[in-house]
Amino acid sequence: MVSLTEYLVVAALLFTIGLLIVLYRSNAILVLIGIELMLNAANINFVAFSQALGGHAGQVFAVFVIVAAAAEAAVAIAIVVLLHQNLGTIDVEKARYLNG
Amino acid sequence: MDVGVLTAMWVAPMIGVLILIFLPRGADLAVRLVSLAAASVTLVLSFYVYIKFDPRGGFQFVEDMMWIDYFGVRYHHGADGLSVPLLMLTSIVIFCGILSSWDGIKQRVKEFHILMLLLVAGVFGVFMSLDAVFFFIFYEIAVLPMYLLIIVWGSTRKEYSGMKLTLYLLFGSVFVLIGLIALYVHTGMKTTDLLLMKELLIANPPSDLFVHTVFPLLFVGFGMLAALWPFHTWSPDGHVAAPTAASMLHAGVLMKLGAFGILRVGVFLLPEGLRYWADVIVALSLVNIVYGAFVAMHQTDFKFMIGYSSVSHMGVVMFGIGMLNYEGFVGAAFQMFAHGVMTALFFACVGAIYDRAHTRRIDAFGGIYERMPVVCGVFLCGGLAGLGLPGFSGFVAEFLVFWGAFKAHPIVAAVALVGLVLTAFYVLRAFQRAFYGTPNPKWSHLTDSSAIQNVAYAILVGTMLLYGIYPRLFLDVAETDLRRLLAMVTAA
Amino acid sequence: MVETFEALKIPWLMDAIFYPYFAAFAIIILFLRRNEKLAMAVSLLASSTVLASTLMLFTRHYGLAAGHSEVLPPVSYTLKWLSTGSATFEFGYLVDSLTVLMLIVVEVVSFLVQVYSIGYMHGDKGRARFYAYLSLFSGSMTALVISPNLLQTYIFWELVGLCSYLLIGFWWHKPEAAAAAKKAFVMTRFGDLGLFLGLLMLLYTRGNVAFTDFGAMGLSAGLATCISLLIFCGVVGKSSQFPLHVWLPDAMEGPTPVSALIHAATMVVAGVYLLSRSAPIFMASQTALHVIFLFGAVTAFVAATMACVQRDIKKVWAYSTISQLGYMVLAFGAASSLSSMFHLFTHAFYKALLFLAAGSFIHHAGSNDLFDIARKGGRRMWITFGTTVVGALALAGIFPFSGFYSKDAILVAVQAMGSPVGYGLVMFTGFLTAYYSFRVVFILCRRPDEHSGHGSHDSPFVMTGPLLILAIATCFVGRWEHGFGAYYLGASHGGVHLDVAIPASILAILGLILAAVSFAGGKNEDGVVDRLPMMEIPRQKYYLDDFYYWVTQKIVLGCSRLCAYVDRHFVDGSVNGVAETVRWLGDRWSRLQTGRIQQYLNALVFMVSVLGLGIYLAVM
Repeated sequence: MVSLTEYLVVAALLFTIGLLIVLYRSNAILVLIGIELMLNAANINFVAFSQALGGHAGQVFAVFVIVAAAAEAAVAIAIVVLLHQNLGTIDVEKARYLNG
Repeated sequence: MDVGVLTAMWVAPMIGVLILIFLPRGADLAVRLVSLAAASVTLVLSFYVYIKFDPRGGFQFVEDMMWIDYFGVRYHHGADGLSVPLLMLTSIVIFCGILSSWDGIKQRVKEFHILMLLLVAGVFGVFMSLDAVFFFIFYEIAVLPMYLLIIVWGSTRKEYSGMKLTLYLLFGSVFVLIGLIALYVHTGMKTTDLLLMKELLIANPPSDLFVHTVFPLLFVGFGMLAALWPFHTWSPDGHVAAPTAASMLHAGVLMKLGAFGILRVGVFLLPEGLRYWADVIVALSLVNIVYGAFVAMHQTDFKFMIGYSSVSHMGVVMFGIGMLNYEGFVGAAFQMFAHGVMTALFFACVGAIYDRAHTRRIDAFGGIYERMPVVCGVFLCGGLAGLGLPGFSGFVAEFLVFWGAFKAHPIVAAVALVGLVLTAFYVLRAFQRAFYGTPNPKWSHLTDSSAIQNVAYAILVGTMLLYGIYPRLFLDVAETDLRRLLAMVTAA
Repeated sequence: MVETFEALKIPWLMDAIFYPYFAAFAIIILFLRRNEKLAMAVSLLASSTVLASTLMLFTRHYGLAAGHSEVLPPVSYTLKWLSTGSATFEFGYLVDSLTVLMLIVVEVVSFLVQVYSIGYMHGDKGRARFYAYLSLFSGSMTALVISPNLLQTYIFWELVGLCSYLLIGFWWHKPEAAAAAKKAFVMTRFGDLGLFLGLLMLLYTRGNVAFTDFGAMGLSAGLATCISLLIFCGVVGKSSQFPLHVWLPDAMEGPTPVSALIHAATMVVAGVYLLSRSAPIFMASQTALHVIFLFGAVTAFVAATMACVQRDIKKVWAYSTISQLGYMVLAFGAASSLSSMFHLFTHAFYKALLFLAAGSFIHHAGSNDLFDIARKGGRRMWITFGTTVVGALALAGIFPFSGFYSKDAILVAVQAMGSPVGYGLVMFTGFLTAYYSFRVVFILCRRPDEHSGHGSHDSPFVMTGPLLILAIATCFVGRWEHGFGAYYLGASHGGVHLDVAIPASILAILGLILAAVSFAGGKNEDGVVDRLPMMEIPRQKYYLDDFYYWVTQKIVLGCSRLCAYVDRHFVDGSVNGVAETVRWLGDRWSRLQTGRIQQYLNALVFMVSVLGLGIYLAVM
C-alpha cells in the first residue's frame, strides 16, 4: 500500500521540477510545460488527499484543474504564437517591454 | 413646499448631459442649444429660488431622505441665505459662459459642453448639499471635469497646468476628507448629515485640541480651492490654461466653493475653531490681498494678471471671514458673489480678445480700443469693479469687508486698503498699455464681439450694476443666516 | 419747515436735478453711440432741464431764506440703502444754502461747457461718447453735491474720478493722454484711501456719517484731528494739493472743455466743498486747521511759481487752478468757510472762462503754445481775447472783478489768523498770480506773424456765447458778496477791507507791470523772471514728477518684481519641487521593474519561502 506521504513526496518533486523550469528556462514552451507540471503536482495532491480523507471533492477539483489547464494552455500557446510573430523569438527574456 | 426644486437644479444639467451624449457628432448648433437650454432651466430655477426665498432665513426648499441607513448618509438638500445667491451666481455664470464660448470652441463641441454641464451640476450640488458625503461627492464632481477641459481645449502649458490644478485640488480634498472623517468618528459614526452632526457636536462638545486641529484641516483643504496663500499657485496657471468658458466657471464659481466650504462645513461645525485661528486667517489673507496685487502687477499675460487679481480678491473674502463680525461675514459672502460675476466678465473679455488675436500678451497690443470698443469698454467695467469703484457690486462688498476689518483690526485694514490702490494701478496700467495708445496696425483686422457675446456681457455688467446700486437685493437674503452663523462663532 | 419745503415742491425739483444726467448717460451709451446729433441733443436736454430746475430751486430756496433772519436749517430726504445693524446708510439728498450755491456752480458751468463743446468737438468721431461721459460726470457731480452723508459723497467722489479718467483719456490714441488718465486716477485714489479710512473711523467711533449730525458728534480733539486729517487726504488728492497735485497739469491732455468743467470749475473743487460740508469736524480741531492752512499756503505758492514758467496755455491755467485751490484750502484752514466757498464760487466762473477761451485759441491755432498762438493771430480773436483779459483781471484780483472780492475775503481771514509769515506768503502769491496771468495776456497780445494769414475771425457763436456769459458773471458776481454771505451764513459778512485791499491791489498791479515790462511787444520768449536761476526748480516741477516716477519704478514695481520672484521661485518652486521629488522617486522605484518576468517570479518565490518559513517557525 502506497501511503499518503509517498504521493506527497512525488507531487512535491514534480512541483519543484516545474517551478525550477519556470524560473530558469527562457523558452516560452518550456515555461508552459513547467506550469503544467506544477498544475499536475497539485492534481496529485488533490487526489491523494481525497483518497486519504474520503469524499470526492478533491477528485472533482482535479477534474476542474485539468479543464482549466487545458484552457490555460490554449491561451498561453496563443500568446506564444503572437510573441513569435512580434519578436521573432519565444525567449521570455526578450519580452521585457514592461521594464520601468 | 417646493420639494424638488433643488434636485431639479442639479439634475437639469445632468439631463442635458444625457441628451448631449446621444446627439450625433457634428451637430454643433444642436449641442449648443441643448446646453444653453439646460443652463436656462437652472437660471430660471435659481431665480425662482431667489425670489421665493424667505428672508427670515434657515434652510429652505429642504429635501431630506435616508440614503444609506447603515452609515447614516442622507440625501439632504437645502438652501439658505448663504447658498441662494451663490446658486444664482452659478447659473448666471454658466449661462454667460456658454454664450461667450458660442463661437470660440470649434473642436469636440459636444464633449466640451458635456463636461461643462457636469461640472456645473457638481457645483450646484455642493451649494445645496447638507450631507457630508453628498457634499464631498459633488465637490469632486465639480473639480474633476476641469482637468479634461484644460488639457483638451486649453492653451499655454495646458498639460502642466491641468495636472497641477487637479492634483492640488485633490490634495486639498484629502485634508477635507480627513477632517470630515474625524468629525464623523467623533460624533459616534451615527450620521453624515451636517445638521445632525452639528446637533451631536453641540450635545457632545469636542475637546479644544480636536477643534484646534480639525478646523485648520478643513480650512486649509477648502482654502486651497479658494487660493489661500501660499496654496494659490495652481489658480493662475489653471486660469491661464483653461478655455474661456472654463476659466469663467473656474474663477467665477469654483473658487467660491472653497470659501463656501469653509463657511458651510468648517465654520458651521466648528465655530470655535474659527475664533481660535482668526488671527492666522487674517494674516494669511492679508498676504493674499497685497501680495496677489503685487504679483498681478508684474504679469505680462492678461489671464495671469486676472488670475492673480483673483488671488487678491479671494483674499478679501477670507479677510472678511477672519474679522468675526457681521460686516466682515456679509462682506465676504457678498464679495464671493461680486467677484464671481466680475471675474467671469474679465475672462469673457479676454477670451474674446484671444479668440481674435491669438495672443494675450499685454504688451503685444496697443490701441485696440479702435477695433473693439465694446470688449474694451466691458473689460474696463470689469477692471473698475475689480478696483472697487462704487456703482459696481464689488464696492459694496469691499466696503463691508473693510468696515468689518476696521472694527476688528484698524491698522491691518489700512494696510489691506493699499491693495485697492495697487489694483487700480495694475488694472489701469494694463488698460493703458493694451487698449489705449496709438493703434497698432498689426491688429487692424480685429473685429468687435459678436451679438451673442454682447448678451453675455450685458447680463454680467447688468448684474454687477444692479447689485452695486441696490445691495439690499443681496443683503436682505443673506443677513439672517449669516448672523446666525456669526452668533455661533461669537457665542461659542 | 418741512411743510414749506413740500409747498415749494423742492423734493420734486431735486428729482429733476438728480435723474436727467444719469438717464442721458444710459440712453446715449446704450442706444445712441452711433447717432452723434441725437446724443448731443439728449445730453443738452438733460443739462438744460437740470439747469432750469437748479435755478428754480435757487429762487425758491433763496426766497425762503430771505424771509428768515437766520440761516435755513438743512433738510434732507433719504432712502435706506444699506444697513448692517450697527449703522445704516441712506441715499438721498440734503438741501441747504451750501448745496444750492454749489449746485449753481456745477450746473451753470456744465451747461455752458456742453454748449461750448458743440463747437469745440465739431467733427470729432467720438462725440456721442464724449457727451455720454460729460453727462455721467455732471450727474455724479450733482449727486456728490446733494449728498446727505459721507458715504454717498465717497461713492460719487469715486465716480467723478472715473469720469475724469475717462475724459482725460478721451483721445485714447494719444499715449500721453492715456498715461495722464491713469496717473490722475491712481493719484487721486491714493488720496481717497485716506478719505475712506476717515469714513471708516467715523463709522466706527460714531456709527453715523450723516452731514447733518456732524455738529453734534462731540468728538474729542484727538479723534477730530485724526478724522479731519484723514478726510483731508482725500481733499489733497481730489483738489490736487501739494504734494499730490502733479496729476492735474498732466490732465490737460484731455479735451479743453473737460479741463474747464472738471479740472477747473467743478470736480477739483469737490474737495473744498467737502471741507465746508464737514466743517463741524474740522472746526473741532485747531491742529487740523493749521495743517490745512499750511498745505493750502504751500500749494498756492508752489503752483503759482510753476505757473510763471509754463509755455503751454493750458498748463498755465492748470497750475493757476492748483494755486487757486490752494487759496480755497488755506481760507478754510483760516477757519473761514465763507471766504473759501466764495472764492470757489467766483473762481469757477473765471477759471471756466479762461479755459474755454484757451480752448477757443487752441481750436483756432492748433497749438497749445502761447507764443505760437500769438504768432497765429491770437489777438485778432476779439471776443476770445477780450474775455481772456476779463478772466485774467479777475484772477489777478483787480478791482472790481470777482476775484478781487473773494481774495479780499480770504486775505482778511488770513490776517485774522495772526500769522505774519502766512499772510506774507499769501500776499506774495497774489503778486505772482497777477504776474503769470498778465504774462499770458501780454504774450497773446503780441503782433501776429505777417504770413499768419489775415481775416482770422473768431470761433463760432456756440463757443463765444458761453465765454460772454461767463465774462459777464465774472464782472458782476463779486458784487454779490453780501448776498452770498447772508445766504450762506445767515448774517451779512464781507465788505471791502481797505487795510488789506490796498496792499493786495498794489502788489497785483506791480505784478501786472512786471508782466508788461517782460512781455509786452518784442519777440523775446523769456522775461526777467524766467532768467532767475532759481526758476529752474519750478521749471522742473519741484522734481516731484521725478520723485513719483522713482517711487513707482523702484518701490512699487520693485516690490512687484520681488513678489513675483518669490511667487515663481519659492511658492511655486516648492510646489514644483514636490512634484519633481515625487517624479524622481518614481523614477528610482521603477528601476525595480526590469520587465524580466522570471526575476519577478524568483523574487516571489523567495518572499513566499521566507514568509512560509517565518510562519512555520512562529507556529512551532
